[in-house]
Amino acid sequence: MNPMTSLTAMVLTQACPNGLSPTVRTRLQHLFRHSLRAGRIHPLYQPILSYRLTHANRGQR
Amino acid sequence: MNETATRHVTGEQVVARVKSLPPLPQVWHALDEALRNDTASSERVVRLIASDQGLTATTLKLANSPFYGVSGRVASVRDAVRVVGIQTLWAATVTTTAMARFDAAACPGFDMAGSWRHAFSTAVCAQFLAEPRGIDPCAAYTAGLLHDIGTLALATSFPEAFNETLSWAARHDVPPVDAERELLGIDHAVVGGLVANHWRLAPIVADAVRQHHEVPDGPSVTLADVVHLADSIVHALDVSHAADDLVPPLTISAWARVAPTMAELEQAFAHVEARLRHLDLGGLQ
Repeated sequence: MNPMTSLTAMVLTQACPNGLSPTVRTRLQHLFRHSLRAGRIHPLYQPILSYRLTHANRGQR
Repeated sequence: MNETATRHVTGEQVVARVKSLPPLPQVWHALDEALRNDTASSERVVRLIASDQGLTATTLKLANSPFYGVSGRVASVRDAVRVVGIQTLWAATVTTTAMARFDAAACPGFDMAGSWRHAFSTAVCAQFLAEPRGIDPCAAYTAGLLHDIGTLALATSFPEAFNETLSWAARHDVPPVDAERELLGIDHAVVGGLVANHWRLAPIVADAVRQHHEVPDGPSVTLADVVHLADSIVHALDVSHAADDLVPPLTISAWARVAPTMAELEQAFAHVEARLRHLDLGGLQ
């Protein structure tokens, strides 16, 4: 199961209006843990965060 | 920290193993060249596939998979090419041809399906990024599909040492490529480059495979830059679902050369996820 796109993630997203579900947010932080831990901004972090957010919000409409 | 006591594999052994891999069939090169030169009329593709028994079987098996809704009704290569499409067929051909040269059973712990999902997604993403930058999209697709072929070579040729690198990477929470360099003194990108050269792949493809974790500096964007970024994007999209997956660091100079806009990145993400939803290699993965 992909935690980014699973139905569970969508349900959790709906419980968090205008934001990412804790599952998706935690998974993203896990994937980018090296740069986050080092205090660096990975060039892809913001774009993927914004993409997930856009899709999560679209899912709520 | 160099744990040389655990080193079971030498660079010489890897090179010897790569050299003993069966070559790619001649028809593969003809098909690759036809597709890369943009001269691939579907009639030529049909003729090339039909000239090879293995490729014919793969093509018909794929077209008759339930995914295409015409299961059991596709009897000719011509119809199969029409049903499946040249690009999916190429992905299946590369996948099956490469797979057939490795003994997957030698390393049962290796996530073969996850690995091919990652490879397919990287191919789609690399192709998407390549075209607007004047880089051969077909070469980008092939390089994306094969960029981690060195991992498959290591996993199936030296399963014990390979599993050790995975454990070491998990224990130290580092990318597998770092563990390979530490324990084996060679990494999957370099091994992949050796495999690509051994298989006489186009030099631009072999270079991109070899350099996808360490892109050289230069004034203009290269296929290696594109595959390097595509690989990171696919990790960020969490395609493999692996528990300890991580997005590898991006070389800033490569990022600057590719210079994607925010809108282009969002399109790339959506494109990869859409293509992945429709991925079906007919159980060939």
